[in-house]
Order: sequence, then structure tokens, then C-alpha cells
Amino acid sequence: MSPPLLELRKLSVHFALGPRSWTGKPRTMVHAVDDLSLTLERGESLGLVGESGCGKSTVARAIQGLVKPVSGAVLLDGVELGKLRGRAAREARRRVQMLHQDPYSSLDPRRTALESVVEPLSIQGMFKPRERRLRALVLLELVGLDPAQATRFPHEFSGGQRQRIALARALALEPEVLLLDEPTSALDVSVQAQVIELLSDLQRRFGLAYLFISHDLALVRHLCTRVCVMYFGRLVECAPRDELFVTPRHPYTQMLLACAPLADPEFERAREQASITGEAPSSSNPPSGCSFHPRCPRKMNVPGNRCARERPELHNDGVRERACFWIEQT
Amino acid sequence: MKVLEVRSLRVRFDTPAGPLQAVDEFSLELEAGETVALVGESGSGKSVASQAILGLIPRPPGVIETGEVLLSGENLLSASPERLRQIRGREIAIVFQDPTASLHPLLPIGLQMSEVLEVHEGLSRRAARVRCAKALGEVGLSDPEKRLDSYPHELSGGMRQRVLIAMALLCNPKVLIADEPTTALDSTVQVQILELLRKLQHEHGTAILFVSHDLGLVARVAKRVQVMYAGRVVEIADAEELYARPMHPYTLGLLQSVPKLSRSGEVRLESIPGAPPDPLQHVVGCAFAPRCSFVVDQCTKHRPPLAATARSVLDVVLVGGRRSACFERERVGRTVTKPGALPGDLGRMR
Repeated sequence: MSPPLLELRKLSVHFALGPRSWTGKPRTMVHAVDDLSLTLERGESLGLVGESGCGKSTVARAIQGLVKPVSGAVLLDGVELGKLRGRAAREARRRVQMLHQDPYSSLDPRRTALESVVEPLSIQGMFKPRERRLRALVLLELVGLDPAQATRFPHEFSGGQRQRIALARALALEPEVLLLDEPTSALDVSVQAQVIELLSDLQRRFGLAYLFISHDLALVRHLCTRVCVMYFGRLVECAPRDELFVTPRHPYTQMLLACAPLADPEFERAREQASITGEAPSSSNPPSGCSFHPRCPRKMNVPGNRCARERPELHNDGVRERACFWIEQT
Repeated sequence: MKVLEVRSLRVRFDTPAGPLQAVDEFSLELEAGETVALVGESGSGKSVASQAILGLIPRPPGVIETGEVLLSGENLLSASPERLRQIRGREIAIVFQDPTASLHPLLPIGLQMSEVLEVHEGLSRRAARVRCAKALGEVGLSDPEKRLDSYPHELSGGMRQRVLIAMALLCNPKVLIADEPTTALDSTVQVQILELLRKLQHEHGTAILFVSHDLGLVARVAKRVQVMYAGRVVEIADAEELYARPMHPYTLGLLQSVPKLSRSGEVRLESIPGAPPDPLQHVVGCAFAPRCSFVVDQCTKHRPPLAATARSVLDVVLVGGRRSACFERERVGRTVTKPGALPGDLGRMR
């Protein structure tokens, strides 16, 4: 069996909090990503959802090698990215590209659209200068921009158009994996729909694999085939799309779904008021056991206060993976 | 009883690039205890309209060309600055989008809150503190006495927004303007804040003007919805009717471009082609015409008035009814039934 295109194997990323103490006392460590494993196959869209601060963006940064994991590994085609050096490392980077959230800050204001798309090709030393420009123009057209506008600067474009430029730039190196970090949350809904449809067209045409990071569950359901839910640095549930949305099992997934706004007042009024309690835990003072237990409505159903004492591991039940003592006993 | 009424408000900004018509012919009626939503995409003029109500438009560059803002019959636009200061925070209050930017970072929140009461009700600091602690308790902060001495950075985003809501409601205003109050917050916190607003509205009978770009949220809170596009109100309707049968092509487009939680990716998201018009350009006819699939000849020549729909002529007399600024509104209304409708798997979803 061939290895998956992208694999995270027990990845942990920790950040030190606050200034270094002169007494040499170790600083508080924030476990931004903790023991996280997931796989991404060719041509697949995997959704990664969770509240802000749960570590989903850190996962993307770790895949790109922008932060160093304290343990675990990122594997591309079964090869550990952290161990690659020189030419091989550069080649691996080419294959994994990222589209950032905010197209207002992700483009260089002093470069034209064309220059921004040419830049990654120059850095990788691909093609001759003239061919780079030609390719960039084709790419801009591919993402739905008028090549005649290629010599304009970012401030002359709208948010949606800028996100298209950023996408052309990410696609320039013909990547196999595209990390999408909330690519439409800075855009208006009508423009968001345009960008999302563009993304799914491109995926069909080029067989790209997407890791789609978002807090918008409806959007994830629209675009992704498999969904992983993250809470406080760890995965709590991973399932194929319909299983996750139709029959969510983990109490946190259920809570997230109960909170998602639906554009229908009749239903909004009819649905029972979701009882949401508490906020995401503080990273400097992490809860014991299952990190969701202080907010969990099911913890009373688990005997012996187990949720507060032990940390549930991810278990596969054939359909989905989930980490919860309550599910295990029912 | 109408507590707030805005009549044909026009706001212009004089920019170096020329005059920019931010809000045009904006009208609004708000009854005591009800929630009206103002929906629109960025640049549609919804925030400018709500800030103009409070007299918060900087002049220059802003110019309020025409219009009346009547708060219980008193025109705020002709009120003196002293009178406005009395009214703001006491009769009408606002909660902004970004709770971090709305609080002074160097002052404890108790001091910032009690100032409101010292100014408006002449309370001593000690008496104000007691009231503030009570207000913080009402918005669901634990240990309110101790919280008064906290600095904004010691609170989470959701807690800060609770503080601002408590602060806005300290003097028991008749009208609360909530300008995207939950946009900066996570969906779980969002739900809590909306619940809180609903509870406080119920207890105090406050009328809420809820400004948002999120149609999903609006469906949750508002009874009546006004949709704005390019500075103008294009459709007014009761929330149920608006979502079930939009009668303006822009509303229809907005509803169709929202991905549905209950539906998977086999359905394409309909998007509205093109982009909103440049606000510096003067538009003849309907501003939405270049992006509209229902466009007819007269759309580019005349501006469609915000008129009652055929079905609701009687309603207009009775309750304000529904109105749409589109020549083809009946055709739009017939085309699609329930674009925001949710198919059968919702029961299972829960």
C-alpha cells in the first residue's frame, strides 16, 4: 500500500509563554498542537474545524515548516519533511502551498499581480524568465482575472480579486497539497461563494488535495469530504462528512453544530435553545483529563469522574475516530 | 409605540476623489422591544446609517444632506451637541464590532463603566460601582465585584463584549444599536451573546437595531429585516417572509450564496456575478442592474422605488408590510420558493 500523500504523525507543537525567568525556572508551555495524527489522500478535501485558538492554524504552519514541532513528524509521500535538506527540501516545499486568510496582508503592496505570481517560480528557479511571465498570465486567467489587469497593484483590486491573485500564486508551483487557512472569512458572502466554487473547480481539474481550515461548518460541509474537529490542540472527532454532520457523536461536535447559524428564521425559532456553557479553556491553565470536560454536558454520565482524571484517546469505531469516554460506554 | 424613526436620511462624504454617497433615502422604524436587522455586505452603508443615527459621523468629511432621526419624536439631527451628549448612552446606546478596540486598554473596566453613570445620572463613584457590579452580574460574568478591577486584556473576547453590552445597558436605554456585535467572536460564544441580548431585551423592553452581514445570525434574532445595497434599502420584510420568498434579486442572490449546513457539496453555490458599484460613481437607474439576472430595460434608466409588493398593500397600512425596490419584484418572488429552506435531514442532524 502506498503511503498517504500527506501524513501528520503524533505531531506536537508547544510554545513557551511569557518572558524567560532569570531564576532558570521553566516557562509555562502552551500545547498548541498535541499528539495530532491525520492523513490527507490525493484529491481529497479534509476539513479542519474548531474555535479560534484551538491550534488549527498552527497545524498548517507546522506542515509548512514555519514552526518546529517538539515531537512527531510531517510526512509527504512517506518521507519526513523535517529531515530533508537542500534540493529535496525545496522540492517538498513546492508540493505543499498555502492560501492565507487575509488577502489584504498576504500580498506585497509594492508588487503587481503579475510579479506576485512570478515570484515563486523565480525562487524555485523554474522555467526561463519569459516563460514565467507567460505562465503567470495563464494562471491569472485560470483563477478568473483579466490578464489585462496583471500589471495592477493589490490596492487596485477588491478583496475577492486579491484572494484570486493569492490563489494563482499558490498554484504557480503546481502543488499537490493546498493548505487553505480560512480563505474566505475576510470576504463577503456573495464573493465567498465565487471563491469556493473556483476552489472546487480547480480541485476537480487538477486533483489537488485540500486541507481546509475553517470555523464555518456550513462551508466545510459544502467543500469537504472528510472532517476533523479540533479542540484545544487535539482532535476530538474525525469522520466522513455526512456521518459528522448528520450524526455527530462527540459532545463538542454536537455543541458546535447546535451553535452554527442557519439562514432560516422558522427553523431558528423552532430549534431548542442550545445550552452553551463556558468558554474555551485558558492555555496557561489547561484543564486536567479531557480538555472539554469543564464544558461537557455528558461528563455526569461517565462514572468515577473519569473525564476529569484521564485523557481519552482517539479510537476508531469503523466509521469515525473519536476521543470520548461517554461515546465508548454507550 | 415607535421609539426610533429615521426618515429619508442621506449621508455623503466629501473625499479627495469626489463626493461619495454612502447612504441614500434611508428610512427605518423601530418599535419598543422589537429587533430590526440591517443586512448588507461591506460598503453597503449599514454602519454609516447606524452611526448617523447617533450623530457619530465626523463632519467634515461627512455631510448629512437631508433626513430626520426621531427618537421618541425628538429630532436628533437638529439637537445641540450638549443635548446629544445627554441622549447618547442614556436613551440610545451602541455596541461595536470589536470589543478590544472599544475599551480603554489602560483603565480598569469598573472605572470605564461607572463613568457612564457618573455623567448621566450624577451618581457618586461608590454608588456607580454597585450598579456596575450588578450589571456585570446580569450579563453573566462570574464574581462581578472582582471583575470591576480587571483590565480589558485580562478578559476574553466574549467577556469583553459582555462588558460592553452591560455598559450600553447601564442607563436602560430605549434603543440599542448593535453593530456586528458578534463578528469577532467564535460561534459558541456568539450564541451566548445573542441569548444574552434576547434575555436583556425581554427584561428591559429595549428596541434593538441589529446590524450584520450574516444572514444566518439575522434569522436567529430579528423580527424584521432591511436589506441594504450600495447605500440604499432594497428590501424590507418580516424575517420569515424574506427568507422564504425574497422579492429583490440581491436578497435572492445573498440567500443562495450562503452555504447550507444541512446540504452537502453536490449543490453548487450560486454566487452573484460581478462586484458592487464604485460608490464614487453616480449610478443612473438601479445600482444592482449590472449584476442582476432579472434585468429589464427600465432598470438602467429609472431607479426603482421602494414600493409595497402587490400582496401586501393592506399590510403597509396596517403594519408597514414588505417592500422591495425592484421593478420585477413579483417575478423574483415567483421564481424561487424558499431558497433558504432546509431539506429533510435537519431532524436527523440534531
